[in-house]
Amino acid sequence: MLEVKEIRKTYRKPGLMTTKRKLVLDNVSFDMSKGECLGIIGESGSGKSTLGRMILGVEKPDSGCVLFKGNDVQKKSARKGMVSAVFQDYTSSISPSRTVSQAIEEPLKLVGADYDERVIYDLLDRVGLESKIAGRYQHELSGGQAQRVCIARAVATKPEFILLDEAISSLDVSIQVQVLDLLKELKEEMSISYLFITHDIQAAAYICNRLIIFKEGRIVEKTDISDIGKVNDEYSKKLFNSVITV
Amino acid sequence: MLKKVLKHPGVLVCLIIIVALVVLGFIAPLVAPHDPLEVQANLKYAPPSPGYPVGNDYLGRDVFSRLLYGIRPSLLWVLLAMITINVIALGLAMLAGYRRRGTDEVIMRICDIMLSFPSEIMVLAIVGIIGVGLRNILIVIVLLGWPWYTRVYRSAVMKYSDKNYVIYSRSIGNSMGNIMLKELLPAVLPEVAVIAAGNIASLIMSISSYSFLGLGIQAPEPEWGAMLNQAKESLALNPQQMIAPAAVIVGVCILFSLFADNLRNALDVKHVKSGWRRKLARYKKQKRKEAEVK
Repeated sequence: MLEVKEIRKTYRKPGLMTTKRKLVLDNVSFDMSKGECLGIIGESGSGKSTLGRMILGVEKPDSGCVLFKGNDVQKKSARKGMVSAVFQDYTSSISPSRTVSQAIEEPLKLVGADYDERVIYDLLDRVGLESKIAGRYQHELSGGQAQRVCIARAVATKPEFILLDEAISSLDVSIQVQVLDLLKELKEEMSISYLFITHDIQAAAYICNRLIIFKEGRIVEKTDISDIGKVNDEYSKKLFNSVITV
Repeated sequence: MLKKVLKHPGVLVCLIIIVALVVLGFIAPLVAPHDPLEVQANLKYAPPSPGYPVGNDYLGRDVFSRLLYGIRPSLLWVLLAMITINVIALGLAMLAGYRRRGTDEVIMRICDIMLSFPSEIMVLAIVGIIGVGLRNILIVIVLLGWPWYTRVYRSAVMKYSDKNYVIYSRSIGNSMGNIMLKELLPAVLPEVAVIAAGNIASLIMSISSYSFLGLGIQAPEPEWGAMLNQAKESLALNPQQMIAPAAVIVGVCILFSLFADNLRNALDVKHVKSGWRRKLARYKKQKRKEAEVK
């Protein structure tokens, strides 16, 4: 369903006279099938989020392409209503001038869906929020509530693919598990594919079918979640061994 | 958003006064007690009297009527110039701040070129070429004004175009026009409104000062700055002539500054109570009353 083909991206290094460029993504290729949850794990600055922005079609790769159902994601028509996203920073994920219900309406309006208040209340209920929250503004929500609203907004149009860019990293541990369970449920219910970008291996292992280990803009290793103990690469081993076990 | 703004008492009061002034400017011929151009030699420098509430000027013309007629050039045309500048600047700023790269470079370099000329000298030069008069002054002000506003608004647009909600809007396939209108415009509008309203005062001052220099509106047409200019001729013997036009200019400038201040407060989402807070406050009040009754 989603194909990422040999993506390369460089950024210009700062400085007036320099023409040097920093390589952020180097020949990244993978694909995803429908209903799958793929985790991308890597440390900060490894280019995970840049990759996410390219998959969303918000940024252009220098070379290579991202295909969603065979169409280039750079075209808006390829994404409309089928692709959605949840970001890490929930404080800026909802427009400050919108109420919760207006925020959830946005994707519904875009695809021209037929909806009324009940649809929004159902969605809020689905993510475990009370319907009285619908009239509130972003600054009147707690972090967990805001992130749930973002998830409700993301699933509103029943998309086939959702990008979760560090979607749970800024939440409390107890809420993290709730949100992960919620995501799992929604996935089964609507057969959504997730691309789960994170640095949290445990969270990734909890929800994903497959993992990609990412380092310095390159894919180090791809592994099934059942074979997580059998990784070959040195970096992957180090990474998995560094997980704190209580 | 308009509803929210109008609920703010400060904004409402300022807006009512501004609208009243604008209406007065339109219907000046109907409400003015005298012809602003009517010369009466026997009333030269006359103090305020029942028929002439703020006295007469050096030709015996009614100062009050002249002030009323002066609203049109001093306030209405300035407002129009300000709106034109802001529409141009905001449009370009959105393009530059959202599209970035080439578009941004081109627009910003044009702004740089425009800004590199000292504006007073440019006004003098252009007015020297196309002639004096209020219309020409306004054209020059719009021509020279937009680059500065474009720069300021561009940085505001840039601040918001990286926000997650804009990236989200892009990723779900919203068009550029839609994102500009529905995401960026509401975000930058508070800043734009405040900058524009705050600068109206200085624009009124500059139009008045160009008239004061004799570049703007020409005698005998009434304009506040031109009236000040005429009053200065008799500064030593009749200083009270300065009071009325100066007070009106200062008053209007203060009015717009206050309007800008209140507008900023009214547009800030965090200052507005949404329904549930008000309900909560009402609920608490009720509880307190019940406790008192007990």
